[in-house]
Amino acid sequence: MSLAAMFSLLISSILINNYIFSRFLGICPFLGLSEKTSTAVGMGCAVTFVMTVSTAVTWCVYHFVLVPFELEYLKTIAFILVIASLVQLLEMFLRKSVPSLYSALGIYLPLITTNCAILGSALLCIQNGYNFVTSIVFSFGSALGFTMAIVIFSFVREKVALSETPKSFKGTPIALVTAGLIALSFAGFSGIKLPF
Amino acid sequence: MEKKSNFAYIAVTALKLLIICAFIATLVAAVNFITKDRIVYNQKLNTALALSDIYEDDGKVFSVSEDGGYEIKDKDGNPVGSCENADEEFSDDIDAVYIIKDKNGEVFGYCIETSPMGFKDEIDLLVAVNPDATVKDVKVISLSETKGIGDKIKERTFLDKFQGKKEGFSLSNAEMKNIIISGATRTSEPVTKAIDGALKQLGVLIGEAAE
Amino acid sequence: MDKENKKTNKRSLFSRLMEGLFDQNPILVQLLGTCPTLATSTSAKNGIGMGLSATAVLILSNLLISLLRKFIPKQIRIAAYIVIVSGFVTAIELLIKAFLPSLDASLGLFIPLIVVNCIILARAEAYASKNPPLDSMLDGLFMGLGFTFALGVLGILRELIGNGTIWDIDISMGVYPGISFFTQPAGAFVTLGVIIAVVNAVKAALSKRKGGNK
Repeated sequence: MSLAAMFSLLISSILINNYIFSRFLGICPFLGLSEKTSTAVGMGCAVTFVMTVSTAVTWCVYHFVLVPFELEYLKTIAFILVIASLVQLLEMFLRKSVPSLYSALGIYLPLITTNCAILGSALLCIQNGYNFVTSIVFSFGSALGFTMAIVIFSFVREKVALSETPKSFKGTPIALVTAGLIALSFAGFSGIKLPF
Repeated sequence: MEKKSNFAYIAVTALKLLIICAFIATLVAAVNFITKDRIVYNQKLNTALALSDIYEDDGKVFSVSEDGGYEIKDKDGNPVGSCENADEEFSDDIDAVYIIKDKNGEVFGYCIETSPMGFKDEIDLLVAVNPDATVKDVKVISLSETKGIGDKIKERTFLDKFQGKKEGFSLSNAEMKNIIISGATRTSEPVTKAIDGALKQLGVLIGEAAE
Repeated sequence: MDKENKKTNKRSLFSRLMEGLFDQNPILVQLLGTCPTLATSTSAKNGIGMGLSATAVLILSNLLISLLRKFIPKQIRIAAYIVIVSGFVTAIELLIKAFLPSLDASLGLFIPLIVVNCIILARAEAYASKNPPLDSMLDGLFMGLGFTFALGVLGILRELIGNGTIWDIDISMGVYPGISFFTQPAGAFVTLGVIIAVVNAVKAALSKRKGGNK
């Protein structure tokens, strides 16, 4: 894969095939952690780190362990275990080194395990037959796209919280409608023509 | 004393987790054992159905044979040819090339399975080629593109445009403009290129056979 | 907690079904499992297919976790749950691939992603780990039906407005062109938002009629 193609893949995974607005992966933390910009940024960083590392590790696990032993059908189980242990490690690391971020992310950190974007990224790389480097570029780009989406969304939500919304729309419904509008604007990116 | 009980506790916990893992692994392995042949069969069945559709006018019906290849029969169920897998290394996107021969061993056509990257994920295509290396027909086997946009490439008005095309057709800008669906460029363009790529690969294969 | 559990056990099956479908609906009220909800509800068929697959996993995993609830040590319970759930998901995925290939083609990635569907782990942790097997299975069934119900409603609405069809059958006789906005990602968010708002409004109206007890 040439450098230009890499760049195309990176841009397309950030903007065009955005995990949140186009693939619907990682909606739970997207809705749950976007009320404040600071937590959104923290969650975005954690997801970026975990997604890139876990995709690299799961790619190796798949190609060096599962394929040689013809155990491809066990990939979901193997991947989720790898991701769960990585999240544990990250949690221990944050608790010791960055306690402020640790307390901010609170209960959501263990929930990265059940963030479907992480497992989805690992599975997509296998499904689309990406090689090692492409997988890393793809997962890093996707994670950046996720971070961008959640941070933009948190800006909007902070504003929406101050305005008057109809009673039955308060909270999640208006958040979903807002997300829909952002998704609509992201759909505009699908017209971008990238050099392949 | 305490250390020992601690160790025992860890050992028991680990053992329990291991038992659960072993149980689940056995379960999944059992299900895999039951389903794996059927899954392979399903994948092949789609191709066989598409091929039967393409060669319907010639009265040829394709089905999946017991050894995992394809069988060709006429409407009454008599074998009327063979479908051989050209077992070679191909470029990335090409999954398989089949050579379709009639009863007398004459090449009747080729069939190429290719899976280009679409807008989101891979698209599985089946390209049927005439013996003179022009496209006979194209079928979309599986696709997960956006509803209402990317899935337009399934429509006959798009796929019919490829009939009769020769290798290198995608190099002409006018040709590309005519083929590509505006508004679904990022799905229709890779499909067009992949079909041309399949023809190119086939050209190499035919060239080798001629030598 | 004990008191509440006793109360739970005594409640009739009907009221528990209603709870799964409406009061505690996993999607519309608890907001769990939004990813598959949004992604697979492009049509009624896909939505209900997804819902039923998740229900099957939920029932099986709830049953096994409940059976093993005394066997699994507390410290490693999450790991154990994940292994159990992903095992069942893989089994269901293989079965769908083998016997319902068309469903597999349309749901794709979202079948293995049932593993990380929050509903399943949430029910395992909140219910199955504390209750007997039969109750847990029923809980899985009711919650699963609630999930399927919400997905079905969303799927039918999006398919009807977006394509003018229900269950792939054109009911508008080709008069209605369909607003493709609703089958696209943006439409999914907006439709779900509006449905939840309607549910909120209905709930508010009901509790008002009851005299505001809730």
